Amino acid sequence: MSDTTTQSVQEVFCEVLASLAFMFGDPASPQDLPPMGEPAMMATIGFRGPTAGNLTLLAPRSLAQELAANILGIEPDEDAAGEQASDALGELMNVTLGRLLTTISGDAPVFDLTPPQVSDANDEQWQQFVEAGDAVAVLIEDKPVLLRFTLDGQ
Amino acid sequence: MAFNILIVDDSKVVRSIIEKTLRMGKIPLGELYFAGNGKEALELIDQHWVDVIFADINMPVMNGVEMIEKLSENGVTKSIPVIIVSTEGSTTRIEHLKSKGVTAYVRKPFAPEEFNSVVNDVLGTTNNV
Repeated sequence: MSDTTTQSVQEVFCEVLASLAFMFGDPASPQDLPPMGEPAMMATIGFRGPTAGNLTLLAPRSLAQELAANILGIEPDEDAAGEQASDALGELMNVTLGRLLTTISGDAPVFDLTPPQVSDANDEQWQQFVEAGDAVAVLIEDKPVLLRFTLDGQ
Repeated sequence: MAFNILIVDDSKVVRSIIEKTLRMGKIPLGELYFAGNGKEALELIDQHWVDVIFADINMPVMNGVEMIEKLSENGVTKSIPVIIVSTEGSTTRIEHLKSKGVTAYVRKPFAPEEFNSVVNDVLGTTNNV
C-alpha cells in the first residue's frame, strides 16, 4: 500500500468514527500497538468496480460494543450495545469504505460494496495482520485497531 | 398530517438512527415500516401504503438500485418519494438513480439537521425542532 493510501485509510477511518460515533482515533504504528488483551472481532467488506478488493479491520470486542452504544445513544453495558456490536462495526466499515473509495478514486467511478462480514478473531489473525507489513494502525482511547486495504491480486 | 414511512437498510443500527432522527426532527409520523433489503421492502409496499421511502443502496438479496428500478416500473409505486441514505459517493450512480425517480440523497454519516432539512423539503413540512 502506498504512503498516500495508508494516510487516506487512517484519515478517512478517523473522520468517519468521529462523525458516526463521536469517538476519536490517533494514527499509530502497528509495531507500537499495545497487545489486544481481550476478545477481538474482524470485519471485512469488499468492493467491485474499476478496481476490486477488500477493507478488513481487527478491533477489540469492547470497542465494538462502545461503538454501538455511542451510535445508538445508550450505555455500553446495556444489552442492545452487545447485541448490535457486530452490526455497528459492519456499518462503520460500510461508511468508511464508501468514503475511502471516493477519496482514492474520485466521485465518478461506480463501485458495488458487499455486505460486511463480522466474526470473532484470534491472536494468530492479529499477529498475521501486524506481520503483513501493510496494515494501518489506529489507537482509539488506548485500544488498538488494525486495518488492511487490499486490492485483488495483491 | 402523519406520514407512513418505510426504512430500508440491512443494518438494524442504521434503521434505528433514521427512526431516532425523524423523531428528533418532530416529523409527523404515522406507521413506521422496516425492511432489510429491497425484496422485503417491495413485499411491504405491496401490503401497506407508504408516503416516503428511505433506502440504502448496498444491501444483500436485492440492492437499492434494483428496488428503485422495480418501483419505477409500477404506475402506483413510481410516485412514492424515495430518499437515498447511503455511503455512495459516485455522482454517476446518483444521477442514474435520480433519472429513475429518486427524490433526494443523504450521504452517511449525516448530521440530524441536514437529514431533517432534506426530509422536510421532500415532505413539504416545517421543521418543528
